[in-house]
Amino acid sequence: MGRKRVVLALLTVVVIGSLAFLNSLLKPKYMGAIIEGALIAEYYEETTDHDVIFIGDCEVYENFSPITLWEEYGITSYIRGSAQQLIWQSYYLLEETLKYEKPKVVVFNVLAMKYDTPQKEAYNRMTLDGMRWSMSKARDIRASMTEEEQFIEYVFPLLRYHSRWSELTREDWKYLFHKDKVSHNGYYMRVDAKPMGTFPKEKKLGNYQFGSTAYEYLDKITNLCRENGIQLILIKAPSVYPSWYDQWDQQMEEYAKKNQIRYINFLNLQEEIGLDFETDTYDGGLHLNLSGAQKLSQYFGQTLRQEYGLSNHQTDSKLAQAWKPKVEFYYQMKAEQERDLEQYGYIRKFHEE
Amino acid sequence: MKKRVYVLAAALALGLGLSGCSGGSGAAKGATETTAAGDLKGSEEDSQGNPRGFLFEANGVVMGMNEEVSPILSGLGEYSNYAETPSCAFQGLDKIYSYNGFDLYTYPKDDVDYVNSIYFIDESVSTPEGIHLGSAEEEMLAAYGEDYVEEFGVYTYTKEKSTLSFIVTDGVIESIEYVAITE
Amino acid sequence: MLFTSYEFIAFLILLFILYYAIPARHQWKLLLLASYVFYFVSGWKNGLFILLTTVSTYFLAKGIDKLHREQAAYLKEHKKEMSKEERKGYKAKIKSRQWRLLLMGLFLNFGILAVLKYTNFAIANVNGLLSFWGTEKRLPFLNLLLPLGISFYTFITMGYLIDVYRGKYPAETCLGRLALFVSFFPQLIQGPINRYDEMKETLYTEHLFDAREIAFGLERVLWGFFKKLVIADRILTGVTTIIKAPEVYDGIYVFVGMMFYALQLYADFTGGIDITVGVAQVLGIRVRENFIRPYFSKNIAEYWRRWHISLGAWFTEYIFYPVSVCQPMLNFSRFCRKHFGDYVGKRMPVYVASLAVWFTTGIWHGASWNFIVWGLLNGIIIILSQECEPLYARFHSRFSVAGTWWYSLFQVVRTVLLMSSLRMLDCYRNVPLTFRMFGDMLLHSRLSQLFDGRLMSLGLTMSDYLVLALGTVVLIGVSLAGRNGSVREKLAARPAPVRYAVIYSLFLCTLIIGAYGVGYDSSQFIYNQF
Repeated sequence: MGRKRVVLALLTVVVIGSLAFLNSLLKPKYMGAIIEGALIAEYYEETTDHDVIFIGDCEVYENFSPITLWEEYGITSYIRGSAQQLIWQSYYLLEETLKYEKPKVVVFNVLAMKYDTPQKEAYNRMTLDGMRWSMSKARDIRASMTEEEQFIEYVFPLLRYHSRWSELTREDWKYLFHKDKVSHNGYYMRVDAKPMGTFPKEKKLGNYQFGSTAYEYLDKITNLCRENGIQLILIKAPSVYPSWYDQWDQQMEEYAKKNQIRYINFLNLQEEIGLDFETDTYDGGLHLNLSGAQKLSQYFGQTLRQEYGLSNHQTDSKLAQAWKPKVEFYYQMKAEQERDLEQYGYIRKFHEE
Repeated sequence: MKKRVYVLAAALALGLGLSGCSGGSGAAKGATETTAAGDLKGSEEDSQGNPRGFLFEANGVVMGMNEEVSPILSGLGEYSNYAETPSCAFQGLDKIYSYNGFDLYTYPKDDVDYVNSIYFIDESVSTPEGIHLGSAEEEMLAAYGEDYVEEFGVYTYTKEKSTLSFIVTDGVIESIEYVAITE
Repeated sequence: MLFTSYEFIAFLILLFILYYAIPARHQWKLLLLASYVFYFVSGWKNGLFILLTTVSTYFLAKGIDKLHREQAAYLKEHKKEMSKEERKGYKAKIKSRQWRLLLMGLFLNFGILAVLKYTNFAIANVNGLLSFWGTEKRLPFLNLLLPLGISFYTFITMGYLIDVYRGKYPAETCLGRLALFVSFFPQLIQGPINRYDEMKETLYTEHLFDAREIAFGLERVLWGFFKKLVIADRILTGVTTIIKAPEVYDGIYVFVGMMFYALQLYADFTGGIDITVGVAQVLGIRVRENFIRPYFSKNIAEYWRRWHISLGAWFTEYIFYPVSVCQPMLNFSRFCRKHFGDYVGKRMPVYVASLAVWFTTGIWHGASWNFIVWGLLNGIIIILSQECEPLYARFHSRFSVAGTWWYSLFQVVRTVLLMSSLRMLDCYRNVPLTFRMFGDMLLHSRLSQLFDGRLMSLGLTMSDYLVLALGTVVLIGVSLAGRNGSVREKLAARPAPVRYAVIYSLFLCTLIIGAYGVGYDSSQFIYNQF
């Protein structure tokens, strides 16, 4: 009987061990040219709390630099954003974040209002796979799944990623057990620049009214912040494309007014911010580069300090200690990217072969 | 031996007789399929034998959704504007080429660009069925029939892997767009 | 609920736990419930059809059975006073009443099947004729629902009804039990077409937890999943690409498609049956085998005794025999004997009956001329080879090749090729196209075409080809090992580490390289559609 038990235990260990190994081997690592899938998980490495939490899509994680906010104003912040992050994903991420800390201000970028239904499996994965397990994650998955997706494939990612067995690269082995840090408190850094061109004519829409699901979650975000005594700021980042229709802008204005929250459309503030779309965007106007993000953060920091009374934490030794390596990492990456740019004319990490 | 030949002949005759009548009716089966898929008049098949769906023609180039872009581009000649929009977190670019009267949107798949949508920007172009910006709703209905889905004044017709949408305001067509159905 | 869906696996686990937790005498009731859940999940309207078939068959069979018993009792009671003539008259009267009940059942149930499955085919043919006569008129097609597994459960129930009519066994007295026999979920959607007398013991009896049986069942299920997910669903893309674009994939690619389809169909169908038999075995129920290594057959007649066995058996039992002994056939036989002699007179009815069987087999597989021609060609080839049997015998004895391994191999390969060629009718759009492509394959195939880049445009990557090649080797290996005894028995005889390693490897292979999940179309089992 004793022997049988040993065998059984051994078998269990082998089975679970091998499955766990295969699971981490086959999961995408997002350590190469596409790092967006690694953003969400990095939050759990944080050791200190934040004044400001940004939630939203690429229009937050590529446009705001928490390091600048820290350096200029001593404001601590973190961006919980990922590629095409849908509004319910932002909501559940916020819900989850509140389990770890209670920020003073939450900033939400409203571009996501345009999506009322689940969109794309790959983006879902980038947002959801990085999340730790919680009821928030479970509900998030339920809200996000496209028709082809199955809940169980989130529980056991191996069921989703098994087909990568034939596409494994060195990256998959290298990052089997550990990952590199890729973001700066959720910020995605790019130092290269590509001047804005002419975008095609705006497409007409039959209906400019945001969907009911989008509003439902916007309400949830508003209420969650209210219940927790958090000040919510709705923003539209100054990304020129995809189109932000006037009709949409109006709805957000009205919503903000009705709920007595702030709505800032940075598209109208380009001059005040000092944005120059010749030099401050890395992809022709869709997203800001480092220079643009620094300008926007500098501008926004003022608002945060003056109107939201966020104080300077630079003298707090515990925080200063926590932020020191962040700042170092920031300038190290900046220097590396600039070196690449000078030497090759592009940043090697993001360059397509 | 002779008897055996009789049997063989009889079996063959019976079998062939029955299979012989299949020729004509086999075509009838083909007819079933096309009828079920809708009226295919006016649409050819692409090189892979798939029906092409809604087609658009400009500068003598006929194009359908999800078709490879490069031959279309070379046929259309010079464009007036080019823009590219990287999708977040993806290799490859969505590209937009502007020509007289319309914009051509593409999407990448395995390093090849395909037609994603065609958007009319002025009245100088029309669909092969003769509908252009400013046409009346009745003309659209006459050309494309009643098999549409209407939502907020957007009339969407679907054919194979393509849709053709019209935005109608006060009986006048304000927007025309072909869009690829991708999976 | 597809066999290869997460839902089905969850359903099985739940059922399994409940099945062995409840008192064994209630197990069959649980199975009935589970089967109806399984079926109603596919659409409640489907459920109404199977209910109708079950209930009508139950009462008709009971009615027939009652007449059997009445007759026996009456004859026994009046044994003394009845003359032979009277007895015969009485029997005939009863028989005709039973016959009427049987006919009602047959008409109702085959009627439902015919209407749902063949109406649009009939309309297409009528339209074909209309266009042939040059009229513009066309009949509109109907939007009919085809309940899941209707071809299978209709055959199962009608087999039962006919058996009761023939007095082979008494009718089932409990409606619930009959309902379970008809709807038993592992076999419901793709067979095998079971027979009541074979199932009644194993289906309703109490099943105790038997670890060995359960392990064997699970192994069988796993093997089925391997065949379906690793091989059948992977090669699917290649098959559809080839047959959808016959202009592009001509020459040797017709052959490639033909062989791909042979592999796909085998892996798909036998894999599905493995899951069926395995699941039943886990529940302690023995379901009949439907395949015995069919691709090792040396001729077509043998092939059809080893492929989809239960279907062949059904047709033999309920079509071939009745047709060959029915009155018109006997008259026809007499006619032939008189005009063409004994030999023809003896053979002709057999051949006509078997062509009838093949015609039905064809149309059972699908409402199209492709399947009808396919069925008839099968029949014709079997008849031809029977007629040529003396020639073969002479050839064999003259060259003494029979029994040599290479001649056996030749016969096996020949049979596989022949069956695969016929199956092309199953692939291409219509009959003329099939024949054209077949001709193209024979006339224009060049080996060099394999290297002109088209092979890599089928939607299969190099690693796919590798998996398929290795998978085929595994399939053949397991089939070879199974020739002299159960592979699972052999495996069980090995030391535990070997056994576990083999099973776990199979599991991992299926899990990792199986073609399932996002990025793959979840594809139905091919035989679900019949």
